[in-house]
Amino acid sequence: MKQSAYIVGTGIISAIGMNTASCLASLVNKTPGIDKARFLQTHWQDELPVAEVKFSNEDLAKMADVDQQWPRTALLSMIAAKEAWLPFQETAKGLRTGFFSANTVGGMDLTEQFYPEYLKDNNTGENAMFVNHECGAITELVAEALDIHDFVTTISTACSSSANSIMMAAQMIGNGMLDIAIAGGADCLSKFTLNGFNTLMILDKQPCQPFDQNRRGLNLGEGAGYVVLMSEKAMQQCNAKAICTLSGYANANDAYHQTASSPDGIGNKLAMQGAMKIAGIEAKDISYINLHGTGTANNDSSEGKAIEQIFGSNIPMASSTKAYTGHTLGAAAGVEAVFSVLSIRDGIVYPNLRFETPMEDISWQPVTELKTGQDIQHVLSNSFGFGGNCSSLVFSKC
Amino acid sequence: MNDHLTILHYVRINKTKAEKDNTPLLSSTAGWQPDEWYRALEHPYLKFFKMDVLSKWAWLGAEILLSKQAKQEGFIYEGLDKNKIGVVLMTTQGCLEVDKKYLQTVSQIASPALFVYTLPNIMLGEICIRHGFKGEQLSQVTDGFDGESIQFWVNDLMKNKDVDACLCGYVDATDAGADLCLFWIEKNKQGVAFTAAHLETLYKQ
Repeated sequence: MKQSAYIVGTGIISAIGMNTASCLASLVNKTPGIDKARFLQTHWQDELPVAEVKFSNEDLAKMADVDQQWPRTALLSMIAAKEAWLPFQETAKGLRTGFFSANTVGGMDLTEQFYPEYLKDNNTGENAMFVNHECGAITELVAEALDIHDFVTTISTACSSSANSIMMAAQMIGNGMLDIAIAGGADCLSKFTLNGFNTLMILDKQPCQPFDQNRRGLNLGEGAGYVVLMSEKAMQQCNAKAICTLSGYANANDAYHQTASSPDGIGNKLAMQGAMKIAGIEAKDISYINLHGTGTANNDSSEGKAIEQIFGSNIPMASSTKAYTGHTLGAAAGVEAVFSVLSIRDGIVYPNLRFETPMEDISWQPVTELKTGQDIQHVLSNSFGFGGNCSSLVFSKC
Repeated sequence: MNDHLTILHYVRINKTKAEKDNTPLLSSTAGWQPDEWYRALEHPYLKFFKMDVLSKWAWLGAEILLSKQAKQEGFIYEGLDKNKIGVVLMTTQGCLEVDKKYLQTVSQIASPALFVYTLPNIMLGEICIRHGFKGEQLSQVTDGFDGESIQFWVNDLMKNKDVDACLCGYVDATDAGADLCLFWIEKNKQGVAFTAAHLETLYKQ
């Protein structure tokens, strides 16, 4: 019998807040974080809105109490992971603790600053600017600063990265290989990602409108989100209180196209069904779906159809919070795991902002107003990545 | 753990020759471009024309390697679990050709069609999408054909990572032509032993 993985804490930083409380306040107050880039140096500043964390690297380094030469992704990761871990750090002594952190850009932001000068004269430039270029370096920096050594890993599977890190953490706790896991991910904005997504012609020049007939694409965002998972034994030692459990998870791949999902959402369907099966629940048990809902024509259509195939005419409440936070890529499922946990804890469902016109090719519509006082038993959180790498997580009330 | 690995089939194509399992393929194929090969194979797969030159050659090589003697007989992997078929490919110049073409478009409108091919490992994806392989995959940039490296990775996958069969080898391609050598490896079959020396010999002969 597998052990349950209980979620006992959260940590987050995003365009709508620098900790769990401030992000939740923005969600409830319908305050999105999408705006003109202030810190990212980009040619597209006036044309492509982004969901930027509203602090300079210098300020973030002060908050995190680390070196300001760290890549921005590591700074964001440190702030969110610290918020999640701090309440348990002292009482967890002697327990086996792991850090599972996803990201997709690594230290690319600094490498981008390094290269133009270096290309002109290869005697210039400091190696501090690129030594942390690799995705794994981000996790190592933060794990070292948090003094976590029992198990440390980085997962990079595009937009489903953080879901896969949370899934792996739950599996290791379930199998008794670890007592505690801090799991999620981080990603900062960079020219590399903005230009890449712009080339694919899937960025919205206005604030995005997920699941709307007239959606034009996604807005990129940045941030970090982590949950603390514990076994029952660890909860007793740390005197921690479970907010919910991570009861189900699944990863599937529809192997259809390099960047797009298959039109009928085969991978999406497999991921959702797989996660519900592991959770031991049926479609009718889901209270809320936190959609992947990027706002691109392709994603929302195939996700919408997959949901229709699974839930039929009884579609649960569903919304995409990317209208608030933008698409934070490797951090997305971490950020949305925090939102899913809060949905259960507070009995709330977030509105899908800026929804105007129902999509013609699906029969259902997202929730557009904040719902409070709900009995949220099970939340299904979707994260579907490039290459058809699709993951779903189920969070359940204890 | 004591499985022995065997090279069951190979394909060798460069500017001067094209052969499969020691037998020349078709006639007078010397200097053929990928599109000529595609037409000769008579297999409709329209996505082929969207691919960059590296993916085209990798796709063609896999198509030739994996087809049974007579085309209507199907593919050699039939009956195997596709979740346990691995793909390991090495290249030297990677996708440099499409990188250069993409860069030319950036000053005007960056081309999404070219952009998706600006990673050499996309050739793995094209092969896996075509044949439905879902096992472990790896692509590496090496200085040239490296039998030791191919042997090392495939051996590890097949002995330690639950891979039953593997398509592996080397694909290097530019608009001027290709240097391609692909192998099909299975466990416990009669045939040429899967060693670095045999890979080198088949590549060089």
